[in-house]
Amino acid sequence: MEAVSEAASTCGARDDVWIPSTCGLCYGTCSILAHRVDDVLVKLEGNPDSAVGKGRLCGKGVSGLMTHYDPNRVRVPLRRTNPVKGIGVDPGWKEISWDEALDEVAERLRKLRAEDPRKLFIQRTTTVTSSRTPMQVFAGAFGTPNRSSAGGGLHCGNGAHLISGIMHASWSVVPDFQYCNYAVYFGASKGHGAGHASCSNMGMAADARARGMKMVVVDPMCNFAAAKATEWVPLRVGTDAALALSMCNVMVNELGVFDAPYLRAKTNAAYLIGPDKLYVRDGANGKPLVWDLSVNEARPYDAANSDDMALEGDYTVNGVSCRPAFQLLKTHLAKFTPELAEPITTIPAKDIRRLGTEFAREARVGSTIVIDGVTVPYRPVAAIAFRGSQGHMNSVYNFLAVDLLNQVVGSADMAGGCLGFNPASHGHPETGRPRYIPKAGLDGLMVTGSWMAHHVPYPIREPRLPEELGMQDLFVLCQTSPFSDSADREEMWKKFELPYRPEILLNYGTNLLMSIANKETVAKSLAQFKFVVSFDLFLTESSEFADIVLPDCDYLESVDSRPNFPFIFSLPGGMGEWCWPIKQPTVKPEGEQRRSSEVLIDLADRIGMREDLNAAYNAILKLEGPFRLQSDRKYSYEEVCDAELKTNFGAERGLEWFKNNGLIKWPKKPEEVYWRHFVDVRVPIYWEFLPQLGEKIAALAEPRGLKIPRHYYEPLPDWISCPAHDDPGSDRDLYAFYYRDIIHTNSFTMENPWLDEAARLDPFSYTIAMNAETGRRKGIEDGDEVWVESRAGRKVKGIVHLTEAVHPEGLGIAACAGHWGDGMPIAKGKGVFFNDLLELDFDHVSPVNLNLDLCVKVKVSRAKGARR
Amino acid sequence: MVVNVRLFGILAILAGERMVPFEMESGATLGDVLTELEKRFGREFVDRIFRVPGEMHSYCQVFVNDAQVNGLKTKLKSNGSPAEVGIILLMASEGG
Amino acid sequence: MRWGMAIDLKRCIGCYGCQLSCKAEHGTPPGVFFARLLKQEEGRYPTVRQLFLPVLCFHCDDPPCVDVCPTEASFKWPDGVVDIDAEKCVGCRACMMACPYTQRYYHDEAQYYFPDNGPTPYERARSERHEAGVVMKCNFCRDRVHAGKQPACVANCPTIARTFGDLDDPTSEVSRLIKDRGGYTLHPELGTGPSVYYLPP
Repeated sequence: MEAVSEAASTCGARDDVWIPSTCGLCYGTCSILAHRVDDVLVKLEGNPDSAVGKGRLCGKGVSGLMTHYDPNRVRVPLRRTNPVKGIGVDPGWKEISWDEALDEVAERLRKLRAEDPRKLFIQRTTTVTSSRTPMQVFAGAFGTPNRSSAGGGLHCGNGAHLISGIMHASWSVVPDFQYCNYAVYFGASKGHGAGHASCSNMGMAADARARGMKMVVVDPMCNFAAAKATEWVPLRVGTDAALALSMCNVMVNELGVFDAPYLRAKTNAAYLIGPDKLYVRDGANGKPLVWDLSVNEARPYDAANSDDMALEGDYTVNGVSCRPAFQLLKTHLAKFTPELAEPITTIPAKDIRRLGTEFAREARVGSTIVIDGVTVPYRPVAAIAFRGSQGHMNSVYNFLAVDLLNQVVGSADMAGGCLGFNPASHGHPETGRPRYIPKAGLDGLMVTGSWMAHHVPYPIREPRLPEELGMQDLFVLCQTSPFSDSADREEMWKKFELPYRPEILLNYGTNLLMSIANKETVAKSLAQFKFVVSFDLFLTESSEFADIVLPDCDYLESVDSRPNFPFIFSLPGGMGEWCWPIKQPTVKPEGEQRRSSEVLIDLADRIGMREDLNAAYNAILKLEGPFRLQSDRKYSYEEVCDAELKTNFGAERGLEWFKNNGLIKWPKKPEEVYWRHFVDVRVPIYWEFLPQLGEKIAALAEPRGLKIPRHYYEPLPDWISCPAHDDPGSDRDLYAFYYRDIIHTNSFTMENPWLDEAARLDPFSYTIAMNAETGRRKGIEDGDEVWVESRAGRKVKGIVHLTEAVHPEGLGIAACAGHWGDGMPIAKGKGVFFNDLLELDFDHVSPVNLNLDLCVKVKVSRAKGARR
Repeated sequence: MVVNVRLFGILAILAGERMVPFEMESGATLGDVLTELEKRFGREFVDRIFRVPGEMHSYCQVFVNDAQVNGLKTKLKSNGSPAEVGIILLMASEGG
Repeated sequence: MRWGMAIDLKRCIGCYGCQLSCKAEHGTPPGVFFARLLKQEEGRYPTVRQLFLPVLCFHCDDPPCVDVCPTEASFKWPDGVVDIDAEKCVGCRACMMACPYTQRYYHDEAQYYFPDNGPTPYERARSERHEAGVVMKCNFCRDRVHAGKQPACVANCPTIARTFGDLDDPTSEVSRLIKDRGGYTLHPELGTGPSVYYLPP
């Protein structure tokens, strides 16, 4: 019974090919090979040629075909016949033709654009990054500033991206897995469940563990990263800043360990600060001053030799008493003793002291290493953070406090340290593209070389009365805002004299009702749009609020010239290869689905904004020379992709070349990966701009009745409690939080029956994780069905899984589950809808970056008669 | 020299014109063009372009003869045919 | 020649890549997993550890499932792989009772993942070859291995936790890993002689 080989079994087939493309099950966008036999996709594997995923896929990626071939996908354009909109209200879908659909959408958009383009709100899911460019382009061409991701809940979020941008010129941070010896994770799972460079990082993190890298994971739950850690440090939800600041204090004040040359040359630690918390500036050129010890006088930061800059001491400049920023930091940190942090975090003081000591020792301050013949500073320690630690009212300080650990020992973007994802690129050796390098901007502080949007994190915008629905132009440190859907949005818009109201929502795949906070609030704002058009793969709970649904092609039917660009997002960091793969169609859609990228071009044409669209493509893709789009010609999206590829990699390497080859790659240089050592830029350990920003925002907000709490706007990070920490309710004794499940992406993948099946067998995916002792105390048994209720009376129901692997005060809920709609029948009724517990208003966002507070104090009680 | 300013997106809508030609001194800079735009369309119009006086927003992209430029001091060249200046705002935010 | 595998629990992060790449390779019906990921907890809070334990057929040297099979449908290849000849299987399921590791599945009838819609094009291409009324199990991806590839779960593992090779060759990577890292099998006291070893976390 010798088995028939695969090659033989497909012998004689008309069609048997492996097509290089890109995964679309999460924004990690790993490179894939799609095996097609006789027009049917029969297997997805990782593309071993690519640096993105390195030939391997996670459980989600290998399951993509069950999403692709899901019979519940939307196949034809739909128009609602029921004008009434609400949760559970049947839209009365009627199938219509594409022409009918686009005529109507274009007509409405054309009128709206003539009236006021800002009334268009564009929303897109983060699940599929490839939607980014066409949506960005359409928004720019249309003329609306109103675009948001996943409803602006952006739980990943505003703190992580903002501060990674300001401090590391990247969208996120990761330990330098190849050289790091000691990594501390604060509410992060890079290399485990995380999306950015997902599968590549899984391999690199495993190599690091095998090599002996110690990994300390600070997290209320011991899952994924913590499960693989050398040490799990459970803490009270949302108290990360207190721990990080205390560790910094141990290093700086108890041990006296800090990297003085780094702080002098690469940060604003030596800048002199006056009693007004501001830089003391040069009278002539306005530049911040430092104290030059070689001449014992103040000089502009760029006129003094960094070796001579004072980091400590008291000075007087032109009669103003001042101190270096580092001296202020040192003094500020002193109050954060481990003994102070212990009752806040529940971590024993002796452990905090030990962790600070280990971090300081492992940093090897002063050492260097030779990599590929190039000598660079060697700081094999990294402190990284992500959504968990920064998803709180105190979003900015929590993340910044963690990053201070890196800044103090000089491990920021140095070998073995805390790296941004590829902040500097010298480009392909033949073309020098894409080339970007961070540079010194205002006051010598770093401006990113590349960013996900064109509004860079620093220098910060000047706050103004908002013109944007999300008020990002008032709260300028916000990346994407929850105010487009919040309970108090109308109140805010009135307060701030917003001169218009949104009328049309153009949605790309986002399930807003589930992705932000409680559904009731979001449903109210959705129902207020006069017209909603939604590109969807499935009819989600939110599609039910659409007037027209446009059936989209999925990732296996679409094209994208830049699935992994900008490199700061999802290309693995550290040494290795630059890699530019494409996404290409592997099969034709089975129904009438059309690619949204093409539909947007078509819509632009019907609206009469072809020139604007082509100009936006030229600008966003940085098309050059003969490959720039001509104003008056209509291009297909494939032609646009072709132009970008040729601009970057030469006329001979257009879309056809990439379709055959899949990708192009070239080696990284140490000067790119460890670019901080080679580029003269500084990052702010002291956020001088923050108090000023607070005053400017307050000057606009307070006369209009919105108090701006200034203690969030101090230049040095502090520990500030969340509403959950201050909730007096004695029966609400647990902090509910949610976490990213390794086999689910947001609310999308529960519909995939393989992933759903795996999740149903997993002890955690669809349950509520409760500490076993806490359960016993409450008389709750494993498998009990419980109600989880917030202070505002919001309730969700779920099955309890008792575990030793969660903090006694924590209540862990995975992913963004709990679908109730019929459009995704596999997903329906699975898991727990955590977000429904969250309030969505100004009182529950960071007053600095508008990040939603993602912890909530809850009461847990057994549902009636329920025992599984 | 003749400078053709092409406005896209919200700027074209606000100006009510897509193509705005100016007659300018040779050696004129991008900054001079923006000064002309302010004279023509008002302060509020150019306020959308500047982060602070003298510094454009990072999301304001300007192309001179099809090449992206950053500084206001960029000199415009005509070489016989009009100098082409394209301006577009790409101000939407990002997440993920 | 004896095919075997080492699974490095230090590298495994429980991503389900093995369980699902196996499913993708074989198009196994709902409820059937030639490879699975189990999770278990060790210790008490806060000194607790979550362990991810990927399991599959251990391809025992002395397989109890083969011993009990009344029709010789369950058999062992000369290279050590335990397999089932579906032609001979009568679906009595004695092997399932005998396997101490519960790595066999009975396929009672054709089932599809979208029960209301029949098979997807993928399932038509990949799943319909599975006969109903027989027992199914992992055969170390015999087709792939014969084609010179690694088993799907090995080739796909993002953390490179799995090593596949010849246990009889002391110089093979799998043999060396087992020796150097103190590889162990599950339930050695049963004397089944599994060919799948775990490397300690």
